[in-house]
Amino acid sequence: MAIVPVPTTGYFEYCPLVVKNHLDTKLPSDVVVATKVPDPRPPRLVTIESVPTSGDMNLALSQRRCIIQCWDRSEILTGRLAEKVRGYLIDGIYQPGNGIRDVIVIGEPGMFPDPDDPTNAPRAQLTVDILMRATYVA
Amino acid sequence: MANENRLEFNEAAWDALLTHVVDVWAEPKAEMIAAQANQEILSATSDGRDDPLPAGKRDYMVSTEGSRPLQNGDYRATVVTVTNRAKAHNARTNALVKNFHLGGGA
Repeated sequence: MAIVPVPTTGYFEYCPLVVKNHLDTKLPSDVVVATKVPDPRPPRLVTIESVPTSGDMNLALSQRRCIIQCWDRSEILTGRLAEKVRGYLIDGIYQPGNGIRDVIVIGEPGMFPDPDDPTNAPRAQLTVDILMRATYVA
Repeated sequence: MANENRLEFNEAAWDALLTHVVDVWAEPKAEMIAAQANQEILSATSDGRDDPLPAGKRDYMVSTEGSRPLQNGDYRATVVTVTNRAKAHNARTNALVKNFHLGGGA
C-alpha cells in the first residue's frame, strides 16, 4: 500500500471536505452534500464553497471561510434546511476528532436566489468562518 | 471629604477620532474590495455588462459615496451594490464575500 507523505508539522484538511463529512452524518440521506451543484440539481442539496480569508493561524489552528448554499422543495423547506445546517455546524464544535474547533456564522441564513436559475428555485445561503484543527500523523 | 478628581468624556473629540479612522483606514480597505468587484463585472460575460452606468456611479461603491451615504459618525465603511447588474453579479458570484479578504482584515 502506498504511503502518502504528509507534513511533519501536520496539515489542515480541506475545509469543505470536513464540513461535508460532518453534515453527511447529520442530514437526512436524501440531502446531497457537495462542493458544486450537480447537473441535474437534486431537489435537496447543500453546497460548500471555500473562499479566501485571512486571520491568525498557528500550527494547530487556522481559520477557513465557507459559503454554504441550500436548496429544497419550497422556500420554507429551504430556509429550514439552511437553519439546520447552521445548527449542525455549531454542534460540530463539540464533537472531538472532526477537525472543527470553532464556528462563527458571519452571514446568517437568508434567501439568496440565483439570478441565472430559470426555475427561480429558492436558495438559501449562509457564510461561516471555521477554525480548523490540524491533522497530525503519528 | 468629596473626591474632586473627575474625568469628562469629550464626545466631540471621540467622534473626530473615529471619523478619522474611518476616513484613513476603513474606507481605503472598502475601496479595495469595491475595485476588485467592479473589475470582475467588466470581465463577466453576463447580460448587462455593457449597460451605461448612472452618472457618477460605479457598480460596487463604498457606502459613503452612495446616494444615501452613511455618516462617518456611524464608524463604518461598507461596500454596496449600486446597480441592478451589480446585485445580480453578486448573487451569481458572491463577489463581496469572496473579495472581503482584500480589505486586509478577516
